[in-house]
Amino acid sequence: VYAFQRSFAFGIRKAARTLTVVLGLCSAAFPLLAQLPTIHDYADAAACQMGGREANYLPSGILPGGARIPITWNQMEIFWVPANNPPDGTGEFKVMTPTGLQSMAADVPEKGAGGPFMDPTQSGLGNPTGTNLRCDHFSYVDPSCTPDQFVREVFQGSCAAGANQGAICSADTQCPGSTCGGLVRWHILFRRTAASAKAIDNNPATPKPADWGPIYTPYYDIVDAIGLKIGDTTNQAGSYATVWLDGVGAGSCGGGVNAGMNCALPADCPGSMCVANSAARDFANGFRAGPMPRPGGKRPAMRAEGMRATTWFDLPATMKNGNCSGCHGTPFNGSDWIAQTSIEFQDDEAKPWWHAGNEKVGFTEKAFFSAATQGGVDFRCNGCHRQWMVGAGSTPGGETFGDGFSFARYMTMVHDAHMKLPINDSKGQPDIDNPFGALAAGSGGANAYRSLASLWRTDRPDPDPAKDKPFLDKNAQQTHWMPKDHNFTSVRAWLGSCVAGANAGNSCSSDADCPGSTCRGVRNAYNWVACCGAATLAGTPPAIMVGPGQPVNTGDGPAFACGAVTCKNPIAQSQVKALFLTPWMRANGMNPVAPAMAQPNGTQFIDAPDSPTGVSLTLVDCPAALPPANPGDRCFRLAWSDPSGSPFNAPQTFHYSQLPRMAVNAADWTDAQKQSTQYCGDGLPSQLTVGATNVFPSVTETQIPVASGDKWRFSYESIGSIKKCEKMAIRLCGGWCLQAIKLAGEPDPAAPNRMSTEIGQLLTLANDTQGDVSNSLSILRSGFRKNLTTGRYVQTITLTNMTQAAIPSPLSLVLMNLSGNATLFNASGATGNPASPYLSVAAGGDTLQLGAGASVTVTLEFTNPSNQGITYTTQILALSVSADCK
Amino acid sequence: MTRARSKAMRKLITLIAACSGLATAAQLQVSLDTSLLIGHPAGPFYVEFQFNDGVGTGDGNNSILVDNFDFGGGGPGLILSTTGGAAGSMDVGVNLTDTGFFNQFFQEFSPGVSLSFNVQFTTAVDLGPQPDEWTFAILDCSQTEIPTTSPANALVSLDISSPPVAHSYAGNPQGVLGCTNGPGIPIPTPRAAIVPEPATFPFAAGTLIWMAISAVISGRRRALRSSRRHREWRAPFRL
Repeated sequence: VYAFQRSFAFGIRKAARTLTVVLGLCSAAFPLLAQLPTIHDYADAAACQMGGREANYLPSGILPGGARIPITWNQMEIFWVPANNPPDGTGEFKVMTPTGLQSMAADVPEKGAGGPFMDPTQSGLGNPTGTNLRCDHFSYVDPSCTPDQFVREVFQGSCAAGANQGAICSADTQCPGSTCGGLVRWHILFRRTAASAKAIDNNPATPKPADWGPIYTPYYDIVDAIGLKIGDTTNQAGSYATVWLDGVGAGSCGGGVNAGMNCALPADCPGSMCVANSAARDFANGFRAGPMPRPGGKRPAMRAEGMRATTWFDLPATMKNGNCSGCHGTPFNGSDWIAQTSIEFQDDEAKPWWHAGNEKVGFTEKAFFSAATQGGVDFRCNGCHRQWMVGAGSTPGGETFGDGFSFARYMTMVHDAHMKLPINDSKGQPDIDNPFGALAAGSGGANAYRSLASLWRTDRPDPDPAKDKPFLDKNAQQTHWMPKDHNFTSVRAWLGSCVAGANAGNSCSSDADCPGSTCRGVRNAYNWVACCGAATLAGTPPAIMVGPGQPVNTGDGPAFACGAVTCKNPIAQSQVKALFLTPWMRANGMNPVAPAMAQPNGTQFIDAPDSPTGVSLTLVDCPAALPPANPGDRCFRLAWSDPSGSPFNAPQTFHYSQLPRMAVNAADWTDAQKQSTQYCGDGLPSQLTVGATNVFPSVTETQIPVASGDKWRFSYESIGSIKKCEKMAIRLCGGWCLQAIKLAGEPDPAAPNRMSTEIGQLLTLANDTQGDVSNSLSILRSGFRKNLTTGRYVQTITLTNMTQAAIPSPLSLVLMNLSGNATLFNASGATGNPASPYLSVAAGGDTLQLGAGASVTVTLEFTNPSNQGITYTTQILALSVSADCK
Repeated sequence: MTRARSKAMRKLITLIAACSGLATAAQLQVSLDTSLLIGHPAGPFYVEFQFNDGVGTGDGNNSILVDNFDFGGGGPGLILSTTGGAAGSMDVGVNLTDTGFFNQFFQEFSPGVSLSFNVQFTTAVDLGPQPDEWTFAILDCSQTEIPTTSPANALVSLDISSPPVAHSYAGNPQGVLGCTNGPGIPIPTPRAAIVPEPATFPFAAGTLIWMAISAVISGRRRALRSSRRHREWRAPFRL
C-alpha cells in the first residue's frame, strides 16, 4: 500500500510538472495575440453566435414618442426625442453618453461632408481627426463613404480604482489616480438605404434626400450598432465586435387626407402628422434584420449566451478556435465559395454579411479543407453547412438525411422548381415528381420559392431582373453545393487552376488567366454540380470536377443551363420523396406527394427536425384570469418543450387539433376521430400563439435553464377551461410544415392537406376523480445519472400494466415522500396533501389507454444541488369515473 | 504484535469482511467508433464515468474496475478528475465504488479511430427501489456530454440489477455541443456486451490477495527495518 501510495504520489507530481511545462509553453505563445490585426480587420467578424441565427426576428422597431432605441449594452442607450414644440411627429436621435443625452443633429454630415462622421469630441485614441474610423468598418457599408450615413463613436469604460472607482469613463483623465479600463468602443451608425434616399414612398412629390433632415423620423431607416471591446488602447489588440442592426419604421400619416400613407415630412400629411411606424421597417429595398446578428438574439436575458453576448466579447484567438470561427473565421469567408464574388456583386456593400470575417482574421494560408492548419482546428463542411440556414429552402447543407439522401439534391430540386416554369428536369423534360413544383406552380408562382429561399438571407435590390441572382440574394435562383467526398484541399482547387501553359497550376478564374491553356476548377463546373449533385449518391465523386471533357464554365445568369450537363448518376425522384416520409408514413406504406397548391407562407410548427417533447395535459386549478364558470369546473394545462431548440422558429406559433369535448362517462372518441387529428388535421390547423398570457390558445414561453450548451430551448404552457365531468382530447403537432402534402391514394383535389410532417401526440384529460391503480402496474426504475449538460439527475421509469384490462391514459406518476434535497424538475404538477409532485404519463398513443401487458417508459429529471441520494415512493393514478359523473 | 501490524491487520480484516459480500461479478466489454472525434473542434474530449449509488446512502456495496483501454491510435491525456469513490486513471485502470451517491471520474483523451475498454463489476443488488448505475459518456471541451439519444447523454449505461442491464446510445446530431454550440456528433452506437463471470470475483480476489501480500511484505519490511533500528531494544524480547 505504501509503495502504491508513493508511486501514485510520484505520478501526480510528474503530471503536475508536465502540466506546468505545458502551461508555460501556452503562456509563451499567448503574446502572439498582440500581433493580431487591428480592430478594423475583425470589427466586421460579426458575432455569429450572438443571435446571428435570429433569422426572422425584428425588434419592435424604434419607437417614436420618446421610446428608447433598445440598445442597452453597457448602459449605452439611444433615444428618439420627439419635438414637442409643437409636436409634429418629428424629433431627433440622441445618444446617452457618459455626460448625458447628446444631440447628434449637429454632427450629421449631410451632403458634401465627405464621409461618415464621428463625434470630434469623442474621437480619442490619439487620433482626434477621426481618420481611424474607416468607412468600411462594416462590410456592408458603402465603401465610397457616401454621406447618407452617420457614425457616432463613443468610448465607455469604468475607472479601475482611485477616487472615481467604478465610475463611467471614456479616458484616463476621468480617473484620477487610476485608468479607464474595460473600454468599449461604440459605433452607432445611422444609415439610409439607397431606396429611401431616392424616395421613401415613391412619390415624386416627396422631397429628395437633400431636403431631408435628420430630425425627420424616416430619415434613417437603418441603425447599426457595433461594440468593440478594447483590450489595448494603443493598438486595439484583443478587441472584438458584435453587431446589431435595427431598422427604423417608415413614416406614415397619422390622419388627415393622407391617413395611413407613407410620408417623410410633415408636409406630406396635411392636417396631420408624419409619424414613424412602430413596426420595424420592411427593408424591402435594403437590409433586413435577419439574419444579421443581434447581440444576444431573441430575449438575451433568458439565455446564457444571450447574456454573454451583451456583456462579453470573445478574443480573436477564442473566436478562431471555436464557435463563430466554424463559419465566420474560416477562409471560406474570404473565398468565392461563400462570397460568390464572381457572380454579381458589384461592390462591397453587396456582399453578404458573413463576408465580414475574411482572411484578414489570420487565415493567410487559405487552406480550409486541411486539418490542423489552424491550430489543430479541422474546418469541415459540417460546421457551417449543417447549421447555416437549416430549415431554409436551399440550405447548402453538406449532410445527408437518414435515408442517405443528399441535401444537395434537395437544393437542386428547389433550384429546378424555380428555374423552370413549368417544372422541367435537367433534360428539359417535365419533372412532375419534383416535390417543390408546388412552390413554383402554386398561386405564388416563382415568388413562392423566392419567399422561401430568401426567408433567411440578406435582401438586396435586384439590379438586373433578367439575370440569375446570387443565391444569397433576396430573389435567389441559384443554389450551389459542396460535393460530398470532394477531393479539394485548397481554395485554389475550388477556384480553379490553369491546366497547362505558362501559368500551369496557378489559380485562375477564367481561361483568360491561362494563356495557352484553360482554367479548370470546381467553380467553373459548379453548375454541373447544381444539376447533378445527386451523382454522389452512388458514392462516386463526380469526375468532372477538374477533368477535361466537361462543360466549360457555364457561368451564371442566362448561360446557366442544366440541359448542357450530363448527369452521371441521376437520382430517383422517390429518393426525393423520401425526404418527407415520416416513420408512420413509411410503416404504413404511405407515399406523400405534393399537390399543386400554394406553400402556406412558410409556416412551421416546431422547428424541424424538432418535435415537441414532454407534452403533457394536466388538470390544474384555474388561474385568476380564468375563473371557473361553475363549481367543479377546472382548468387544463397543456405544456411541452422544444429541447433541441428552434433557432429558426420564426413564427412563434404552434398548432393543435382538438376533438369535441365529451362527458367522462360517454364512449371514447372513435378511431376515425382520433386519426383525423393526425398532422393536426386537414387544412390550416388551429394555432397556439406565444403571447403575454397563458390563457388558451395563448401560450407563454419560458427558457429551459441548463448549465451550459443552451441554445434556444424553451418550455411552453397554455391553460384553458374544462367543465366538471368533461373530457377532452387535443393533439399538438410537431415537425416542419414545408408544404401541404397528401398521401398516396387520397383523392385530389379533395385530398386532405397534411400540415405537419409529424403526427403529433394525442392527449386526453378528464375533469373527474383519479383512482389509485398502483397495484395494477409494475414499476421498474433505472439508476441515476447526472446529466452534466443540465446539471440534473436523470432516471427512467418503466410502467407495465400487469392486469388483463386496459388502463385509461393519461396516468399520473406521483412521487411521494421525495427526499428534501431533490425536486422533480419535469413535474406536471403537484397533488395530494401534503403536495407531492407528479408526472403525467401519456400511454398507448392514440388508443388513449395502456393496454394489458403494455409498458410505457418515462424520464424523471431531478434537481439535486447537494448531490445527495434521491429517494421517494410512488403512486399511480388513473381516471375513475365518480358517482357525480356517472 | 506491534501497533502498526495490528492496525494493518484490522484494515485487512475490514477489507476482507467488506469484500465478502462480493459473491458474483460480471464484465462489460465496451467498444465504439471515435473517428468522428479526431480533429473535431469540440475537443479536447474526455472519457467520463459515473457510478451512482441506487439506495442513495453511499453504501459501497459494489465496485467497478474499468481497464484495458485501447484508444485506437489515440491515448489518454493529462487532465483528470475524480469525485467520491473514484480513483485511478485510464493509464492504470479506473476504480469506482459507490461510497457516495455521486461518484465520477473523467480524463482527457486524444481520440483515435476507436475506443474500447473492459468494465468489471460486482453485482450486489441494492436494497432500494433503484439499482446502482454506471454510465459512460464522452465530454467535449466544455466538460459536458456530447449529446446522445439517452435522456442523460450517456453512451452506455449499466444498471446493477438482477440481472444487470446494459444499454447503448448513439451520439445525437440533433443535440448541441456545449463547447462549440454546434450540432452533436453522430457517434455510432457503442457495442456493450455483458459477459458473465463465475461466482468468484477475480479482480477483487486478486486485489485482496495483492493487498494481503502487500500488507505482509510491508509488515515484514517494516518489522525488518524496525528490528534493524531497535536491535538492542528488541533483543530482550527474544529472551
